[in-house]
Amino acid sequence: MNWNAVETSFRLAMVTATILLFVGMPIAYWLTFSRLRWKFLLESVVALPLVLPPTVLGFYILVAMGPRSPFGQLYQTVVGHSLPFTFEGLVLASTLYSLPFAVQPLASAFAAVDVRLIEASWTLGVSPMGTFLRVILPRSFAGVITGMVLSFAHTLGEFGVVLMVGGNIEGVTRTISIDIYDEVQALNYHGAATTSLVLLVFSFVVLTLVYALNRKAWAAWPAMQR
Amino acid sequence: MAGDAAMRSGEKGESEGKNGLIAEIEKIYPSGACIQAAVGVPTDRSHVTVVFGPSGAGKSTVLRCIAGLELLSRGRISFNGEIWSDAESGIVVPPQRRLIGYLFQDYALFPHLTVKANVGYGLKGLSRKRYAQRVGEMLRLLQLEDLGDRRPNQLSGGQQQRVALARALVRRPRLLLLDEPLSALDAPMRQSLWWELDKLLREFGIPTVLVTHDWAEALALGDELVVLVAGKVLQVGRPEEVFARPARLEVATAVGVETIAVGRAAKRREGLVELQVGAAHLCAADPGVQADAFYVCIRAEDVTLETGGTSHSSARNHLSGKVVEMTPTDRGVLVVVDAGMRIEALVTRQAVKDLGLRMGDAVIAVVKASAIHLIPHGGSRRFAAHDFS
Repeated sequence: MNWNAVETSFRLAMVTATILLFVGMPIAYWLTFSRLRWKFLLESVVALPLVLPPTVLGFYILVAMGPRSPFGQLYQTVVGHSLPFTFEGLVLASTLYSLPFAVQPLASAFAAVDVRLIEASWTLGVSPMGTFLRVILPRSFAGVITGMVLSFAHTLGEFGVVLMVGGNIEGVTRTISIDIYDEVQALNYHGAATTSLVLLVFSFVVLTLVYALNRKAWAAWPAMQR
Repeated sequence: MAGDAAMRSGEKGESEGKNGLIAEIEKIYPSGACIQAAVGVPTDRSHVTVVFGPSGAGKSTVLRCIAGLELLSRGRISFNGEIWSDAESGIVVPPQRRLIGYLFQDYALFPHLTVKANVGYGLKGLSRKRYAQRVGEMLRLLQLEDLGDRRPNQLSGGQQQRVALARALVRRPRLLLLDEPLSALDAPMRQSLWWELDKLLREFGIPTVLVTHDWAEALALGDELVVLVAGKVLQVGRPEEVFARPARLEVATAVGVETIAVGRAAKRREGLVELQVGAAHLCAADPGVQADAFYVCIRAEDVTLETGGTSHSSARNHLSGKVVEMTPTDRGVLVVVDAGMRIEALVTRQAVKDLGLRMGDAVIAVVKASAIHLIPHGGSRRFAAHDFS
């Protein structure tokens, strides 16, 4: 088993899940409470990674990060090196790829908070931000855990996006799934089987935990509209 | 009518600079339902304005508009000259900056916080010591001292209500909005809490708008009554006045007048009107309005029952009939007498026992002429007497 790959995968999943927690919250909040007519547009964009082939997503991210795009050029000038085929590039791609897995549980948890509690908080003079921190978030604890665990597990298992954006650099961008692919290509079935089993068991344990915590974790996009 | 009243007090108030709450509300829902109401509350003294009406009349909407939880379709809400909502100019002061206390029907206590934390939730900018003082003071006032560390789900309905009230009052709000404050409690508890709530509201002296569908509650707590039926204000006045003299049939129905029947004026003399109601004759005080037909309203409390012999009393109306229905209620026993018209009387359980009242018994229903309230019959719609029996 390639412990380097395991370490890279877990590091990537950890960083991605943490970023998604903070990025996902405002998006989920907006999706839950906005009354704008056009909010379905953002809903669709957030849900896109659920249906798009990872290679397609990876392709666009790669192009967007490339030295010819304004974003790629900006990054190059600021940081000094280009984004593709680096760990940071992988984090950015994973964040986009796992976005729905963080936003969906958060949004459904926010939507399940009794509106009366939110209104009570407002009439007691507490701002929307204060209300979020003191009422909505504490009442959405299960959703927050679910969102983090799901985005962690989903990042751990990603393949297509990583291959497109990160390549296959030992110790930097070679993740568990890519390692398994390599082993199979090299006809080393034994190595592939061990790593696969580890990933399978881990994923199963994670999902068991999520379901035990929150039965509605996978009800796709429920209760977004009130 | 209510709008005029609010408008007048508004003009008067501008010179004084402290004209209280003036709310002229029009809310149109996408479904087409429309709610129009004008509600005024003076703020220079303890005053409870009760918005009363059957459920679905739009009472909560009125309260939510005043709180800023709902936008107006038309109209304007101001408080002591400060504009809170104005549909025309689009001004909306958010609920956070209105400094109100709002008591929700189901109390909306924060389930994840203790009683203390719930009560102190809206306090800010205080030192730890001052915070603890204010919360402690409020817990003491509402007899919640021993419950400070409990969670809402460990409290009885009455305790939850007191915590919600403490939470609203601790900020010393300028205006208190109570949405069916006692409806979540059971009847015996409710009645004992009226007096408590009444005492508390007087003590704090905070102007209050209270919404209820319970006319006994409205009578017990209100200084002024605004009757809202199907999204329209039908009558405004002192509660006793509205209950004794409802201006319209809908109001009489809403305030729970037990006997409502259509009567034809037969003769008028010496300040009295003689009426033919079904097969019965009634004598009522002349309302001074010319009409051929009236809605005859009699409260069950104003009807006395007698058995046997002809008694002599000053009451003008003695109607012989038979007991056809007896229903025990929390106020007493409601006895329906068929005396050529259907008339309802409220008597105590003891009186039922003393008289030995049974179904089918012959009784005399006694009603004073002054206890009969007459509402002129519109004429455009014709009702037969049995429509209301």
